[in-house]
Amino acid sequence: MPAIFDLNDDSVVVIIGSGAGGGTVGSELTARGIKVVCLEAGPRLQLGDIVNNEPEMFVKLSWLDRRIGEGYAPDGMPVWSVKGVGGTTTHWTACCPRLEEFEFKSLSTYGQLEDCNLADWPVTLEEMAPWYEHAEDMLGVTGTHGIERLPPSANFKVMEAAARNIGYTNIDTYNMAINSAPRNGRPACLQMGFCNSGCAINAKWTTLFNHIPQAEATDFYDLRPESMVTRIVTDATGRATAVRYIDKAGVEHEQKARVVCVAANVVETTRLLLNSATEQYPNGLANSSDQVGRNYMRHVMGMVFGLMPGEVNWYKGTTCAGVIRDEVKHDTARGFSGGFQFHLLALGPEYIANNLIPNGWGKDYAELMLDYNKLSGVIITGEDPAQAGNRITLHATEKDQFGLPVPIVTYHKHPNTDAMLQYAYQRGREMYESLGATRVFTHEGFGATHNMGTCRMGTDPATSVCNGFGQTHDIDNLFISDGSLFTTSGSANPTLTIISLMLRQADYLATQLESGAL
Amino acid sequence: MQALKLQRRQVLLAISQLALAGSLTACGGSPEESGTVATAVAGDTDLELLASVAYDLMPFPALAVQLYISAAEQLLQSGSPVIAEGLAQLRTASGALPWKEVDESLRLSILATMEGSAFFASVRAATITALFRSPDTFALVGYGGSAIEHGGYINRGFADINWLPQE
Repeated sequence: MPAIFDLNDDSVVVIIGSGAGGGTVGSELTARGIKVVCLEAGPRLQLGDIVNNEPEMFVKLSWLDRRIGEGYAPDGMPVWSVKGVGGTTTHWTACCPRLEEFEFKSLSTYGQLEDCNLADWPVTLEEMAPWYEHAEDMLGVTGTHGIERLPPSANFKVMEAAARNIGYTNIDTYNMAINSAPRNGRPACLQMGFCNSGCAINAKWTTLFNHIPQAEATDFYDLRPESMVTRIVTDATGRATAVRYIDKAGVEHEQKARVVCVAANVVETTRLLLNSATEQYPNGLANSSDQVGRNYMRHVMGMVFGLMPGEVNWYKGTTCAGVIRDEVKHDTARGFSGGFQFHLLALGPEYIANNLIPNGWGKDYAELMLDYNKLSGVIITGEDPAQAGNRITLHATEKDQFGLPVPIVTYHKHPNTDAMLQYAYQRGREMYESLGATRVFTHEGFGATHNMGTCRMGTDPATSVCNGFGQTHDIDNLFISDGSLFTTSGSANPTLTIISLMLRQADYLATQLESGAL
Repeated sequence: MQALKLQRRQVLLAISQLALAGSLTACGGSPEESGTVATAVAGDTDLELLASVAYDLMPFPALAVQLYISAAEQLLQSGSPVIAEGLAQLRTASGALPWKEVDESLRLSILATMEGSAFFASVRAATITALFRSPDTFALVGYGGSAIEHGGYINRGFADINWLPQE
């Protein structure tokens, strides 16, 4: 049964956000009998609200409140995240690679890159392995735990043939949190192709239809959707004591808390910590290092499309079930540090019409659209080096509907990123041309769906915000519980790593609570 | 070339006829309503002009002109000064002739000079939105649309491909 805890109950853990991070911590703590209040800014959708309609779901799911983008971050929508129960796990494509060993140690492996703020994680792949293992089992990641990988789509077959033609060998339909056969109460994938719009049958894992109901079954979970958190309250001793939020009716409440976990994704987590400044914490909470909001990483991201000699019908099938791993390595002979993946990509005709050629128009462009079904695509996901100047800050004067300063997302590409992209685009071009593509297109500069780094973890409180468990250095009972705590971005899609880190955090936190240390 | 010119002329005529048939509620092009427009040429309403620009930006002769009219209606309903300014610029460029009577290559050159403008971007975006959410356009480009009611593509050829070299 869903629980209802009193606002004055100071024995609860308050989790802000219900996505990959918040949802995982919530279900782990409640499974151990720990009381949780989860405050989620957005609404709670039912399975029937998920439809195969991209524009409709875009509006239903996306965080559309004003965010200012500066530099390379697009101003209209610098970040594409979800406002709703489940967070961005309703929208994600369910790609689940692990970070590589060297990606936990980017500073040691590459040395400091010019104008960068690289650091090593305070955890290693070896320490994370059992948590990755657990997360993969929980999500049902194909290619692990004896779970068969998804069958290859036509789009995948094109990618694989193209990749083998230029010498790549580490290619398969990827580690996906999408069922290839029924498992753990979720059906098998029907290859509908609307992964980014929410999976209408729950074949793709999301906290919304999995972790959240599990947590509610424990009697320890009080989920409050449409509750916008405006401030984390601290007392004279500097501890977090309560969380202030505004409900659907516009009424403000204050929920007392024993521990606060911030899992609001990079933009909102940064905003909340900065907006919770006090005389004692003039620079915002947990920010004695001045790193809150800094080191923002969004991955090196670019798309390559080939116009192939025959039909591909790429829309028939999952968006991303396919990967080429050969370039996930550190090899400066290529002209850059860090590695990248190619993974499969399929897009709907509206996005293609808007973006295949920037500002494309006229008779030739319309005729190109008639060849929509001959397109095949990949997306490059590469390591983005931490730069202190890539950051989330608060606007000096512009306020949102709650009276809170609007966030500014500032991001500039590093020369390493441009070198990686040019190399990757060239390989992508060779791939498609090897199969007779008549044209090759590239596309970048879209809203970031991978957002990391703005409350990085580390051992030194002078240069990091939290420790290896996400516990902030400055405030013992304040935790970072989302992708903000990544020290490096590596080349791996972040969600599996977020969930694995949160399984570990929840275990640590539960132990601290059970022993009375917190 | 002659056949294409005729086809385009027919489309532009159809846009006019549909617009005049009152399938719209948007304003016409009278000076009082659109502010910056100096003169309204008879039969050359804002709606017709915008719809024909929409067509020139994304011409699909096989699609119903109503889609282009919808795009134009959306733009006019926004009341944006960017739209009014763009229309004024087009009317100035086309001089004494109503836009739809301007030779195609001249129309396209005029539009090309406006490529970097906010007006161009707005019309392009609205046209793509109107066209690419229509089932007719889905059918035209061969996109399947909603798949859940058909059981997805797992049994409807998601893996089919006939032109890859055999291994």
